[in-house]
Amino acid sequence: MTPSHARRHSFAASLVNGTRDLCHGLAANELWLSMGWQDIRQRYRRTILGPWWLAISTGLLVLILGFLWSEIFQVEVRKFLPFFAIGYVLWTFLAGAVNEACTGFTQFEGIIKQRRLPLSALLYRIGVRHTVAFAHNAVVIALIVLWSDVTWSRMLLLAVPGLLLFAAVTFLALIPVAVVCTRFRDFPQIVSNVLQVAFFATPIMWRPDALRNYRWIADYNPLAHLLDIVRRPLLGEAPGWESWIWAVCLFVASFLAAAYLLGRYRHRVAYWL
Amino acid sequence: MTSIVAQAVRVEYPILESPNRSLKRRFVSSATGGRVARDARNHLVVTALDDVSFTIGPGERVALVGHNGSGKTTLLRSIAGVYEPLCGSLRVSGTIASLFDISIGFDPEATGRENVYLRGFVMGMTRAHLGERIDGIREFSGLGDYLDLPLRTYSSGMILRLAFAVVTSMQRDIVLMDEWIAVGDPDFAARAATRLQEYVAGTSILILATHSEELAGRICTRRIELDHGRVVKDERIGSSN
Repeated sequence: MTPSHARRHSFAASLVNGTRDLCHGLAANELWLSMGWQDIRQRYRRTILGPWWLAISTGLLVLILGFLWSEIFQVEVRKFLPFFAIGYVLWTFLAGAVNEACTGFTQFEGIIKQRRLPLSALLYRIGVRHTVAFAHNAVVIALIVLWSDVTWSRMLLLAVPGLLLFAAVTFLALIPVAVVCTRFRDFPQIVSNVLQVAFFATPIMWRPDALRNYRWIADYNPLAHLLDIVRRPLLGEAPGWESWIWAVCLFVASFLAAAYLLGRYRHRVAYWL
Repeated sequence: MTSIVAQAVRVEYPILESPNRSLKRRFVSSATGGRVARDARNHLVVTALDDVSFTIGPGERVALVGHNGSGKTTLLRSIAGVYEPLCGSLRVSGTIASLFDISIGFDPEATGRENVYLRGFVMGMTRAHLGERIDGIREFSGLGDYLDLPLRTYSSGMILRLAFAVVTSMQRDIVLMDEWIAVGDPDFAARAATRLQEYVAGTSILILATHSEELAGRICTRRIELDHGRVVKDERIGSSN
């Protein structure tokens, strides 16, 4: 038998190849922007409200749970509701995209087997779907923040770089998830379970200070920091510097994982489908 | 210069059915070692192409013939860059149009016009390119006002017309076809045949996988026969040579 590893797969070479795929994917933006948008239009075709149904169902859920929990936890609803709404909408974006990335290659089998194209573009397409959904849900955030007594300051501008970093981490994280889930078909189940646990272990429905002795659960949770760089500016507070560091580390980690796995295995993906 | 050079190309498909595919085997194997590890490592593989070598230059019309499962489609997909050979090298210079499944990327809920763009993007065309060609596509497909209705209102023949009009609207150096495309009612089929011939005439290299020796003899200048993934015959054919 001939050894199957005729090619060299050094870590550096894989990173370079993977980065090239990521960039070529970005360059093919017409493909993923219009297809992602088309996917959303298709889902809501012939409905009057279209994707605004997303905002309505998110709004209802946030309002009902927000009022309920502020009663249960005995916190002031005007303070709790914006906190919960922002966290929940951001989480829906992240978890929704990551969950869908599990089938990120299998659902495009036809296209992958037709011609060579940057695989990253297919996942950007999934990212776009969830970005469009997020944009509609963001209206819920805007309304609730307006209603609450968050004071407007220049701090609000910090939410922009925060959101960009949050989205970049999410987009990049889709790639390693898709590669691994295509090869090992148990992984989609693992991913959805991990996300479910992470939802409860991350300060979305509860505030970190409510933990008292167990605050470390929030302090050492990278996702908590990733949420904070968007959520805190929107609540009129400055995110701690450690949150920015955590978020940048997450960005670097997801970039390395994406570039390496893509560089090392992009040629195998078609065989795994 | 457009060319396809294959040297000792070997393509194997791993058979990743559930026992191999799940993580459990990996964990079990690393935990227990020994026999299970050998089981988990020894993936079943199917050799689809073995020691395939050829050089195809500009102007060649190549017919790939062989039984079902002889490796024709795998070879087409390898040339398209979908399957990277496990061993050997496969160098392709030139732009490629793969016409294996001409309606891939179509969305039944979108209008014909939107689908022209969706299909075009999958082929690597740009919005500007497609914008210039859409009138030609509309005219050739004969869809008229149907172009602005959802694709699900089309008959299957109309869908193929549209797909055919889109995929043949842009010239590429290399055209890969899995069987000659035949579409539509007699009237359209005649126009399509003419257009396909023009399209193929404008391309530098054509690779056509087919079961029809008659077609191969009529269109192609070279015939490569595959059997069990190996090239068993490579010969010049046809009147043009």
